[in-house]
Amino acid sequence: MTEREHARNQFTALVVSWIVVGVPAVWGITQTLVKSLALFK
Amino acid sequence: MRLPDFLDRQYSIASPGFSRWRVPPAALAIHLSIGQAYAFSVFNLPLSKSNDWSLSTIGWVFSTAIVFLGLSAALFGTWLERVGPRKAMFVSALCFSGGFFVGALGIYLHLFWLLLLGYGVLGGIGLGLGYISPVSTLVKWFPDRPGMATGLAIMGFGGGAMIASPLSVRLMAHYASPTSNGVAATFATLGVIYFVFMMFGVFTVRLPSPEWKPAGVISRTSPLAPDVTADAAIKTPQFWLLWVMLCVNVTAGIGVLGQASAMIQETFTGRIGVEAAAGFVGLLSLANMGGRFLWSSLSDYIGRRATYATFFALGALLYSTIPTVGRSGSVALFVLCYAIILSMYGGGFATIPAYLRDLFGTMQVGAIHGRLLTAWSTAGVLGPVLVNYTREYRIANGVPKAEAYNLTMYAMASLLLIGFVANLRVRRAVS
Repeated sequence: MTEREHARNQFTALVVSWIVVGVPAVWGITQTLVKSLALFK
Repeated sequence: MRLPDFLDRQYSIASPGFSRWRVPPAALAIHLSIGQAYAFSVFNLPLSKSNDWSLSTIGWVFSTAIVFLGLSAALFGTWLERVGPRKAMFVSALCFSGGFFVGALGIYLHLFWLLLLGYGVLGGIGLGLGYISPVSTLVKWFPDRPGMATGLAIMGFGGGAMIASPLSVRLMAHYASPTSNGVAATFATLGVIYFVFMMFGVFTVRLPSPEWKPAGVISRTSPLAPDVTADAAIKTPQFWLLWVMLCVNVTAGIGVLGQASAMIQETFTGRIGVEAAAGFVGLLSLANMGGRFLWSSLSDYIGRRATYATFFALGALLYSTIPTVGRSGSVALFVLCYAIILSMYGGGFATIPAYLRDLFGTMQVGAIHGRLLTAWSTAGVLGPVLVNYTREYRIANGVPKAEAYNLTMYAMASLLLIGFVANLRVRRAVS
């Protein structure tokens, strides 16, 4: 594997890793934000 | 490669060119999962209705899990440093998800002791191992920003409940039938989901090779201390001063967090209903989570001692102000005070590993952190007891509900002042 391919694979793995944990985290935060809006009604 | 070999420390060493920014997601996968513990209360009412268990009896499941979190973190910290994060995360995943399966069986058979053994004991061990396993790895990968790195992971523990709570409610609704409220099936499903998610962390985590150094400058506020073993660390006054600091910070925060809904409704009777109070709890959870990242990141710039001095001084001031704010009738100011307090509660958790690293080095920081978490177990009992019993005592003595929490707030402020003094006395550890 060339150095360039290695760097590209590393970058893809990095992006995928953050998506895997980021999507559920953002979903949870959004749910909580929506719930907390009731306080300001 | 066989799975037992793959889990070995020697196979966890990163190859050249590995990006260290792939380690925080591995840590987050573990902490977002085990953070589910904070959402256990969503099962309280369904469990109480479908079994002959009172709410206070069910409360013991969460308390047991927190006690076993502290105990397992303290007992297995040295083992974790020896075998590496991957094996520890794997065992954590087995225990945490296994706790759900045993708990599901307990609920299905209506056996409370089996639920306690499953979620409380087995799951609690998974919590403790999972909580400490990524921390020392992150400290090693980010010697230039240890506060930010551990804050990122521990933020996941605060955020885990935000995923678990709505997910559990949806699963219970999905599995509900005329003969069952779906809690047992929800437990089993959560066991599968969390096992898969935690295994992502197991496969992703890497240790830096001993020769690895980050490009750029090393932290400007906290030069590395000489490495101290966990056994030696607990014999130093520094360890016990940090223990007191963590204990008082958590005691002050956890008591409020548990009573937040009732507290705002009783302080603003007639103005804040159940739904708005739930919004208040959600907002506090966000502040708790955000504070974990923000305060620990700030500590890389202003130093750990200054960060904790801020927690204790500002916290004491805010707790003493709350009775006046409550009487003033300003909901916005009341919410703002509590949001800042809860951000510092989370910040206290997230900044402590970096403080330990400053004092005792990186060699056994995970094991030392594990032993320090017994302060959390102690606070997990002290905080709710202090808030609940003081409130009940005051109401029994004729104090109006709106003012029942005032004495507790002053007690919390006094506790934080003890933490302030302890923080002032912390000096660098001896080698």
